[in-house]
Order: sequence, then structure tokens, then C-alpha cells
Amino acid sequence: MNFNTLSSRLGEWLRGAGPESDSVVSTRIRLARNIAGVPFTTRATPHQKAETEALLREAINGLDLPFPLAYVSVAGLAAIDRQFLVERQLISRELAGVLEGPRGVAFDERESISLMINEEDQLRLQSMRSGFDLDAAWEAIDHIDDLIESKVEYAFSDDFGYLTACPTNVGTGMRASVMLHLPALGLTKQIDKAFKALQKINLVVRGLYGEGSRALGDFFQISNQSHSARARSPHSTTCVA
Amino acid sequence: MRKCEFCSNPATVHLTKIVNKSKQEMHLCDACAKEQDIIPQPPQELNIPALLQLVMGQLPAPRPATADSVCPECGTPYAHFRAQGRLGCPHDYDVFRSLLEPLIERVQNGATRHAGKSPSRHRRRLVRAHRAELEVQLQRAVN
Repeated sequence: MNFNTLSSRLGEWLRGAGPESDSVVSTRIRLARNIAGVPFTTRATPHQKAETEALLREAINGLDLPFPLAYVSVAGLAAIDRQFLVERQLISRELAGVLEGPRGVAFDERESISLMINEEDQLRLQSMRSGFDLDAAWEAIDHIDDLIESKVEYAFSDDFGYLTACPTNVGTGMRASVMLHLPALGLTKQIDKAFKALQKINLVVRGLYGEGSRALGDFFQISNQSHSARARSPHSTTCVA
Repeated sequence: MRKCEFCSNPATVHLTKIVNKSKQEMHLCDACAKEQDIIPQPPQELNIPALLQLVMGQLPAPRPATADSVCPECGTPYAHFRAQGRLGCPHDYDVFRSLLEPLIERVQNGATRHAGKSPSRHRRRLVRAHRAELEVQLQRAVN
């Protein structure tokens, strides 16, 4: 993977051409998945992590997609290259730094899809779209999820849904988020009121780089808190509109 | 890879019993499945009555978890989860079920059962299990 080539162009979430992109920078949907019968990443041995990486990498390489995916082994990358992938929202800060052992990411040239291996969950699928476009982001990630599931058996329970390392993610394993640029709300000191209102409808607010990050540049990421699906809308959760 | 519950060979026959909201699983290797007459020789139809008797007769009722519980598959103690906030393996959800259910219900705004997307091979398995139970009922009704 040539990072110089990547750095010379903008990724999908920075394209600025999607719906309502005057205030909505990007839309992202993430799915958390694990393999049946295998320890979660935090308890897996290095050998198990290597096996998981190999299994998922093979599954990803064989996907029938209209665009190629490039795989990067994050464990072998220089710190600056890992930081670059974080800034491009292709990997999380945890995958770049805190986690150890075999791990990697596959992504497309447009940087609209990224598939992280051996993050907190063994597989974290991510779909990004410029502007406010939850439907398109969902269709893309749902399709890839189905393709991978045809090759790998996911850990799943009738009662709990898709099983994840952290029980707060169990269920759909989906986090849908939108990145908003809200400088006026910040300047007029109305931002806290807005966030309290969001919390009442089970939405959480985070900074530019997700959980635990600061709201740099008045960028705010708003996402669903609950991962349960209701019977009337199997794929949807309460999302910001 | 699951191990056979009668010997320690890799399991190739996977039985799932679902009664109301409770699910119990059993895993056997090819040899033990034939020995239990689940897969009779030469290969014929599945022996559904023998299959159901085995599942209903052999599986123990799940025991409530305690703060000292440990997952037998990955060795994760419940105390580790309390300290780190992370479970060890998918089987922890069954082992620590009685302790996790109230937590998950709280986090998921009162939802107590998954109602969303499920893997397609899981849906096919459920359909096959449901059809097997219906065939047993039909057989009883005919007899």
C-alpha cells in the first residue's frame, strides 16, 4: 500500500459532496462481529490472533465486490503510517496503538469501506459516506457483512444477537454515527443544551476521533447508544436526522 | 472448533434445542452421533425421535452464574469482566447469562431479546430444527 498515493487525495468522508454536507461532514456505520467458538481479541493468545487474522484475511480476499480491497498489516507499520490511517478514519486509535499482536485493516481506494481485524472485536466493518447518507452507508455494509458471513461463522445468540467483547455492543453490533460541524452552537454556548437533548433520545456525542476524544475544530460525532433492534425495524436504531 | 461432548474429537453434528426463550446446544462427532443412532448406517433419514430424546435427556439445566463463576471454554472469571468490562469468548454469554441479562437490559433500554438481523446460516439452522420438531409432532399425530 502506497501511503504517498493515499495522502495525495481525499478520502470519502472528506469529499464534502454528499447530502447536507454544509453541516454534516460524514456518515459512518460500524458493525462489530466475532467468530463462533474463538476467544475475543482481549483473551486470545498471539497464536489465536494470528489464526483469526489469517482466516478473516482469506475471507476478505475472496469477497466478490465491484472494487478491490487493499490489506495492510497494522502491526508492521511505522507509527506515522498508523497515525495517518487514524486521521483518515480507516482505523481506530486502539488498533493503531493500544492493541497488540497480529491485526490489520482492509479498505477500498475510495476509503468508503474499512474492515478492521483484531480490534476489540475480531472484525469491525465500517462504511463511510460523505454528508448525511445513512441508507447508502447501511446498504454497503450490510452487503459486505452478508458476504463475509457466507464464509465465516459469526458468534451469534438467539437471545443476545451478535456477540461482542463488550456487552454494551451486543445485539445488532451496529453503531451509526454522523459527524457534524457545529461552530455556531459552540460560539453561542448552546452546544451543551443540544447534547443534553440528544442524550434524552439515547444518542451519544463524541469528539472527532470517537470515544474519549476531544471535540477538535467544533466537529462532533453523534451516534446511537443502544444496539437493540425493535421488531418493527430490524436494522434501524434511533439516529439523528 | 467445538469438541464432541462424549469424546474429545472435533464435533461435526450440532444440535440446538430451543424451548420458549431458552436455547441449549449439544455437539457430537460423527462416530458418537452414529452410536447414539442420530445418524444411522447406512445413511438414511435423520432419526428424529432418537435425536430429540438425546437432547432432552442429556442436557443439564443451566446453573445461575455467581460472582465466582469461570467460563470453562476460555477460563475468564466473571471478576475479570467486572474489572475490565470485556468478556473472554462468546460462551461467556451462556456461562454468565444470569448476571449479564440485567446489565444488557439496562444498556439496551429495556430490550430483553434480539429482534434484528441474524446470520443467514443461523436462520437456516432454526428452520431445520423447527421442521424436525414439526415432523415429530406429525409422526405422533399419525400414530
